[in-house]
Amino acid sequence: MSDIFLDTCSIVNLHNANALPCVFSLARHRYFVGDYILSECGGGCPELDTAIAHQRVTVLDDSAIPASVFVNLVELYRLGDGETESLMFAQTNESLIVCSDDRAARRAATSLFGADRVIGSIRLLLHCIEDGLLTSDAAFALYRQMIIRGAFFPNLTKEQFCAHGLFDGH
Amino acid sequence: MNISLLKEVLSAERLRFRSISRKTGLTPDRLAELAEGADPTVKEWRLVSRALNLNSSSAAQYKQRDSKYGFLFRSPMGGNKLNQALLAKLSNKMSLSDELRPGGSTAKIASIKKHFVQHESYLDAEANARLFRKLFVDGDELRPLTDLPDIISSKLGVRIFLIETAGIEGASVVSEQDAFIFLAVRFQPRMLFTLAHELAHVLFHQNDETEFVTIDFNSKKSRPEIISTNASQQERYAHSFASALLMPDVAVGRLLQRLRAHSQSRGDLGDVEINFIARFFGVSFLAAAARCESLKLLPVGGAISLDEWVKKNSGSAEKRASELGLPERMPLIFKYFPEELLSAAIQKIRDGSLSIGRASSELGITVEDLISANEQRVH
Repeated sequence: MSDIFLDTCSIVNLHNANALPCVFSLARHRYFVGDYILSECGGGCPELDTAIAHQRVTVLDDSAIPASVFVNLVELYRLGDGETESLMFAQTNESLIVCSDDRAARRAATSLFGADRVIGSIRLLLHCIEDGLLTSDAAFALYRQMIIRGAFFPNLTKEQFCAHGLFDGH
Repeated sequence: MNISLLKEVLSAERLRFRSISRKTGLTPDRLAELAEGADPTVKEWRLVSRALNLNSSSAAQYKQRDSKYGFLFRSPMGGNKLNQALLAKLSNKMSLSDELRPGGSTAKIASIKKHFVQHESYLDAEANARLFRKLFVDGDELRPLTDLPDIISSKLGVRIFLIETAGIEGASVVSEQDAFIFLAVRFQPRMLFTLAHELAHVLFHQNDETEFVTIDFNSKKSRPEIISTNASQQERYAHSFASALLMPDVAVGRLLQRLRAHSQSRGDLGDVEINFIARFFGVSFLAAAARCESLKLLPVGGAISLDEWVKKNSGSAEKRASELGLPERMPLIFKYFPEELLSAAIQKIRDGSLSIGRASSELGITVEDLISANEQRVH
């Protein structure tokens, strides 16, 4: 079981392809978000709200973390609120894996925690294939749909997409 | 922040602790402790930032750039009165603009200044308003300037940002490289007038060799369309220029002639005609009435009296215009940030030198909309 902290851009991308319910049904993961992420989503992802209501996604508590932790990360990496929150929770909880589709945020997370603790939406789709929730064609179609809706993704062929999990770099 | 910004902001907001307490759920005692320098938790930081309409990461980055724009705003030119939260917000927008795509508008403005006459008197303002129309709308003195935001952005290169704040009406900054205008989100015709007013500051109130900042604060007692009796010469000039630019005397005269020919009216100027002028030129009723007063079509004090009378009898000038069946207002288009910055931001997100979250917070656009904007550029 892996603990995945979802960044706003990944949530939006998965939502844009109607892929959140499928991803949330992956039994191998537990999902987490923070209040900044929720605020950035702005209620625009009802699947996320439902998953929180059903305790499929847990909102992490930031009331005991000194603000200086957040501030130091902002000064180091100059990311947005939700992205910084992702780093902050991953820094205070070593079991968390950051899921982000933003290059700058992924680079910061990789430098802090190593590549093993950083994934993106594409990797989650590949997990859906591995666990029999999606065919590779269906997963590739969802990836294409995310691009059509504006995801900042590399333009991959289906073969490249299926091999993406091997390196997962954008 | 630089944690100290929270302390500074809260120290300046002591009178609002009850209101901030309601918004954040933090007790006034805890707010006082934070104002004294107690270390906040992330949750407290988040709640207070949100209550002050400030992005946490923007606030955190602010001090790093304090030396450039923060210094300007805190100088005597900035009036030393801008609250820290708003100062951080404006400074960060300008810094991101510099980082994304410097436009060089300051040089452009310097090059067109030579076309204008001196800028001291009411008559100078009228003349310069005519010159502005000559330069940018082929001398057309009859048409409304409802496209002024676009003219200022595209032809002068001035960067216009909208901000959600009750504290100011507008602000303008001329830095070494670029000129910026900030407009508070209000009733759009009121924003158009403020924009023309800030344009006057940008064009006429910067010395060639120095940076410039001016802030027009919001006051419950006054409206931007009416110049107060104790206003400075600069403010009076900017007000006169805005009024003349948006409502040229010749255009007001012709419009009234046509209205009167149509209605066969001969009496004193009334609220119907002023409402018509307001709708035609895209300004508020009060701005139109004030212009008529300055053109001596209304007696001194007539604009405010008429505005109050309309409010008392109809609720507002807009309701009155609807009751009268006047033509709908032409839409005014104000963008939250300059379009070219969005394109530049998207390019930097693609190459990984800017994050989606930071671009979103500094430009004032949601992550979802930013991703959607990328869609429009991909296809």
